[in-house]
Amino acid sequence: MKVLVIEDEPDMAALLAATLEPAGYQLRMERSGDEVERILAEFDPQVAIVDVMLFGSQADGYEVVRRIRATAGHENTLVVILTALVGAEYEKRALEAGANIYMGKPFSPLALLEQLRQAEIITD
Amino acid sequence: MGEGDLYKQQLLEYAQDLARAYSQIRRTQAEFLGALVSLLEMKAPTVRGHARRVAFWSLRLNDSLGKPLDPGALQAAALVHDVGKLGLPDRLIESWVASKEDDRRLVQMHPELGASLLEHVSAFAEWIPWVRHHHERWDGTGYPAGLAGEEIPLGSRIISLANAFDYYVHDYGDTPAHTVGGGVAWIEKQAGGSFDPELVRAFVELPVEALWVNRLWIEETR
Repeated sequence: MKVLVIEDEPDMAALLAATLEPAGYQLRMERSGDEVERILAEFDPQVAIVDVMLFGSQADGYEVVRRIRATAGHENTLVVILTALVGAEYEKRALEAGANIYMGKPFSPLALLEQLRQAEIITD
Repeated sequence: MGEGDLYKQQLLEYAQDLARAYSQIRRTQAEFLGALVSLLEMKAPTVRGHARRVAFWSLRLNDSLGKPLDPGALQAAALVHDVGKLGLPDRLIESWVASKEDDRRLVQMHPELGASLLEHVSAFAEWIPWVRHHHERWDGTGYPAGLAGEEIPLGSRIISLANAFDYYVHDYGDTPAHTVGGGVAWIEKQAGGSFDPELVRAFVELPVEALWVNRLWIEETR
């Protein structure tokens, strides 16, 4: 299963890679979502994990999620918003933007893997 | 929360998840082995408790030698040392001494059968040879490989002694039970024959009578 990770913080990106790669996911790591349409066309992931506060990018995570949803073929891609912005308000915004799953940081790596595993079972 | 603090918190989540995952794996392995033992005991009610007692004596022996083997691995191997009996015809599962030559050959396949069953779980690789060779004898006349002396893995030598002691002091239907003192004396006589003389020395020095207390300990080790 191909997973696109959009995370600007290098340490967090490294931890995400450390979680997902041993579990057998094929990863593409990006620091910005400004060119998300091009990345989707090239990589065609089944899952996207998107950070909200993307420093140095034009688009924030919510915008990136909306653009993923608007891209043909990715209307049903599993989208996880992973953010340090924790609270019901932020969860609501994430889901309204089109994310399937909202997770606050720090997140449980096992919970993330479990969410992906369940999504895999559903799509199988 | 600053990025640095968040990162520290995230690392803590990783460490906790790792610990949880590790203990879950260990627990699942132990439960799986327990289920195998229960299955064997369902098929062979007369051996009920044997596996746990062999594990008990094996661990005591290992302790007295200064724990040369990982106690978790030894306990696992000792618990399921006879699991290959599940692969024998039902009429032979409970037999310790088969009278007919053909039957004896079949019964003697149980260490190999057990090892091949356990090989389905790669995490057990370290101690599977201890199961495979638990009927070897120090003098080289055991089975399946006829290994002698220190060619026999230490785990197998320990389980072999514990196994024989438990067999000797319990009534399994085909032989009467002997006293604990009689069992220890019998083991002592087999030094250099069936068993590693050094292990026999360590076993004889164990406070076997004290550990035995009374038959109740059998229930405690279940």
